[in-house]
Amino acid sequence: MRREIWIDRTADDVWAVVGDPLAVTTWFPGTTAVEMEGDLRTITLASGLPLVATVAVHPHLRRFQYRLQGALPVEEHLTSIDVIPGPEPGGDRFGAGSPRCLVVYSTDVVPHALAPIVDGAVGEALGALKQLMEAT
Amino acid sequence: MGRKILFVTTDQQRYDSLGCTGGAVARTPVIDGLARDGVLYHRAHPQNVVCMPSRATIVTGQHVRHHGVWMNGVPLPADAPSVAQVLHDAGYATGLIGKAHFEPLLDPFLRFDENRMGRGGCHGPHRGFDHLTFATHGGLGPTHYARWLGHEHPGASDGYYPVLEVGSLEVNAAGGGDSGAPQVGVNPLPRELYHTDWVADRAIAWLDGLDDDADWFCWVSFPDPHHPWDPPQSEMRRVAAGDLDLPAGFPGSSAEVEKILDGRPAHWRRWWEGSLVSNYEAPAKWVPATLTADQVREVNARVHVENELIDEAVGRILRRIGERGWTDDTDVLLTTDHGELQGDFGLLFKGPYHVDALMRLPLVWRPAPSVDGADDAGAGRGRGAAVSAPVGLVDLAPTFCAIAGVPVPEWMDGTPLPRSDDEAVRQGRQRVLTEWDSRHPTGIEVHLQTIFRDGLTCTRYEPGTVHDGTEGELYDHADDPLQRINRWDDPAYAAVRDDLLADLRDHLPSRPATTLRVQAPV
Repeated sequence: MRREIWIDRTADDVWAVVGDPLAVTTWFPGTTAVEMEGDLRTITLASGLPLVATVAVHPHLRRFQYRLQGALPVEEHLTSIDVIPGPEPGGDRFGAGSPRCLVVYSTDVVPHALAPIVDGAVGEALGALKQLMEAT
Repeated sequence: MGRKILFVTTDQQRYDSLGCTGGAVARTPVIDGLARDGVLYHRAHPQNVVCMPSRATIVTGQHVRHHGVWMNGVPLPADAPSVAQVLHDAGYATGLIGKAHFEPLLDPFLRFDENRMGRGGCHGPHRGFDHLTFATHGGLGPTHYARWLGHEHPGASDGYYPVLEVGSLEVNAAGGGDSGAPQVGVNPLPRELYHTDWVADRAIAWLDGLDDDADWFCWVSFPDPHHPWDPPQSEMRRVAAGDLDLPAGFPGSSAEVEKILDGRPAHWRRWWEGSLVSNYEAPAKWVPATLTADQVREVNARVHVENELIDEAVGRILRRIGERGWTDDTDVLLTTDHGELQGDFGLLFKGPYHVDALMRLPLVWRPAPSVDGADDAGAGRGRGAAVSAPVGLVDLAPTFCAIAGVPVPEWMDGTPLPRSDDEAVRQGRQRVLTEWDSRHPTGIEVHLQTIFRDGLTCTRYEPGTVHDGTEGELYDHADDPLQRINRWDDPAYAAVRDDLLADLRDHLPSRPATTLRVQAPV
């Protein structure tokens, strides 16, 4: 699945939230707690289900990746969240000086049955992220 | 004080499952009695043959293209209109007890209100209902029933057959019982803890909390006889599977199945032989060609038992209504959301197959005995009447409005149910429409629309990944009640086919400008 959203904030501002593994509960609805141990992040969902994932943060790319290890019955999974600067004022080049950025949330997952669940949740989360960022 | 409304739905129940509709096995004296005292509809069709779109039609009174819930997993928008809200605004106490399924059930993030309410023990209000208590198939998930069962009887939910396969989250294909049929399980749960009786108990409890002079709308929504087929084992003594005749729709041999299915659009045969999975509603790993006669008998035996339990539960609710002194002022309507293949054509479950097994539904309306029950022209008394004109579940919400004496809102597509065929003629009823759109995560797309009119079922297919848009089905129920012969390409039927297709085009609403997203498989 691929979901994307434009946010009227700089890529650095948005990356400060998206790139922080412990900030997820501030913008992803349905997550109630988060903790990190090494590169292993455990998010507790509103249903009580713990989502355990290995996390990789790439600040130079503004790319956040995670791979689920459990407790959802995942056969294969990889998510990449990219924060991409928008067009700079007065120019046609994209760069860090832009007041806007594009957040792209891409997920590959098997089993197929999980796809719409993740897709729906991510769509809602990107909307919440936009609201959070643009309100501050 | 006005008329009270008891609305009973089951899930995935065939027309021929009741005594009053020709069923010869399950004993359903309560529902048969309602039909005897009221109106029995012989051609009630859903507007979609899976749960969520069909239930969205029931609560909104709208065709699928208007409410937008085109497949399971698409949540009914939070701001969708609701007949419960109309009745609430008219002063009715409104309750829904049992399976709602206006929102997806698979919801680990608890994004949807129904699941948050069930998990958190909250009972509303929601969608115009003052009170909601949820149950669904089995003892797990974010429902009030699962919460109660887990709290009061720890471990009891293990008796239920697991609807979904743990690893894949697909509908479970594992076989059980004596025959190894899919979705069949031996359930040691005592009857009093089973969801059918629990739903009836909660409905009675809600009614008990109302004032004597209250006007109320109570939707009792039983999760059965939808699979899994795992009624309390203690009740299986009621029906011996080995004694059952095979259903008339079961072809009996693979050669006969192939002969029938080869005359239809390709997805029929491809699903049967195991080379196509078009939708989530049947086990992906189950191949229908493996279905045996004994498996059909065992599934049917369990369905009959489940239907008897429902009938007895309805009887208990009606008795309590009588004890409250409400019988004379209470309209009772009973139907289901869609049917079940249950052996017809060598198949089980449901999918993009617009035949009577899935589309012809039981529907009974027992008007309040205190009203004369006559039709719009004053004819008859609506007692023991039979309506053969086509009606739809889209007509239920307007009927509730009519019973309550409130105007039918313009946003409802349906028309109050007729109480006689003459009234149906005066209403201009000629047809009922059903549609299907599916987009499986594997990329398989199937789109079909159906019109039933003049004893003919005509289905057109739009281009998808299986069909090129030239395919269709046409069945003449007059000489082919089992729908074995597809007349789509029969020159003798070309004119009537084209007329039906034109009628379908003229009456099916346009597709909405935006398509709602699927947010869960179910």
